[in-house]
Amino acid sequence: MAKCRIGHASEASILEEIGVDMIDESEVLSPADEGRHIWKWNYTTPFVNGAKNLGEALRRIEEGASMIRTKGEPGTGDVSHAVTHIRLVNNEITKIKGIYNNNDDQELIKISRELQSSFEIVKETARLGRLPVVNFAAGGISTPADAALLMNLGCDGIFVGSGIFKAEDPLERAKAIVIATTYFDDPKRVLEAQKMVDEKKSMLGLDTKNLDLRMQERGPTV
Amino acid sequence: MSNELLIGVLGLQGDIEENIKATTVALREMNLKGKVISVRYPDEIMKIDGLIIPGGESTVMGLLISLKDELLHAITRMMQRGLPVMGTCAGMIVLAKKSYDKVIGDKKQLLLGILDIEIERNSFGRQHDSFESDLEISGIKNSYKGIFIRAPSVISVGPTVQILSKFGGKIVAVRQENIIGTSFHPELSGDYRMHRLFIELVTNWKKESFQQ
Repeated sequence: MAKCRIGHASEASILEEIGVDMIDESEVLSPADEGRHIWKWNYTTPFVNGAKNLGEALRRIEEGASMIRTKGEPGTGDVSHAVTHIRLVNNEITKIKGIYNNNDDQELIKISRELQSSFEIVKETARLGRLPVVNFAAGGISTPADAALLMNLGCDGIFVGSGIFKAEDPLERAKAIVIATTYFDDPKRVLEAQKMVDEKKSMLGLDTKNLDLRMQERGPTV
Repeated sequence: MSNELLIGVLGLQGDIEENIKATTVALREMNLKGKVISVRYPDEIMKIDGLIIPGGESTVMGLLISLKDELLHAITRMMQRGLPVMGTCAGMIVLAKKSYDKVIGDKKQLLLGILDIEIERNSFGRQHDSFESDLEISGIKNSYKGIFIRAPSVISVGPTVQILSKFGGKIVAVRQENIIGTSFHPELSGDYRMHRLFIELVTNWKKESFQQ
């Protein structure tokens, strides 16, 4: 998987030419287009995009994203932002699912306007009771317990970058996070995984309160 | 012993939900009573009538299977008793005796080594080269849409292995007694005849073990 800048169709083409398995159109890099994301249907390489809420997720899927992840706040070791994003998506889906079950298309149309997404994808999401593509947690995850927490909130999987690569025990930590993700609903196994890592070797994260630039705020607003 | 079939999908990583859904639909299409569950623990493996090892990432799945000896032992013990198992894509790799990667070469990954085949991983290229194609599969009438995602192929088979399907000269589906392996993802095509073929093995095995 390789990252390209938001809206940078040419960078994405280069990555496709290289033959990467997946492209992350990522807010971690400076956005190349403040107005639009990449039209991902033009590529055969699958894309993943970040989303803080249901509207963002559905707009990215409509542009062709085949996977969604929370934005979280990368590089911080602060899991709260990823938790906020997944909760928001879940709550919004619960709400539209209830409206779908009441057969209230008029209300779903109103909501799709608020979400700046098409009625079709809002209705399909409401019917499924989940996003039409997988949704992973990302941004600030650094311990096995973090991974289990997000899986328990209904994520389909976990991305960990700096949480592993900037830790002093990357090999053990990667393995431990995989175990905690697989057995997320089994506290005994998560405890075993947690014991494999040393808190003192965790990444020294950036302090979210003093960040000059929050990655999750970058890129087009629609 | 109950009449109802209990089929497990190895719930460690990969296409777990998709296979549970596909198998549930296939059971319904066959008018069979049964339950499909995700299995991650040895005691769950010991009580199922059939096991599906889904597509996903075979190195990760191998690591998670071998994490605790008990799970690995439960799977191999049940397979020695003839438990029907279907491995799709990465699942077939996990079952195989030998595997190497077309891009990386020899990968030191854990394999169950029960299915007597040699695998070439990433046999059709990378993710970007994933494709769909109609296949002829022995045991299935008319063509079947195979979905190949960064798929492996079988480059050699042992004497007890039957070749079920080939694509572009490469072997993409095999059977060895109660074990089925496919390069493609039958849970994604919306055509559940491959799962039905597997359920037939499960039904027969259950009948045989009941008579004994």
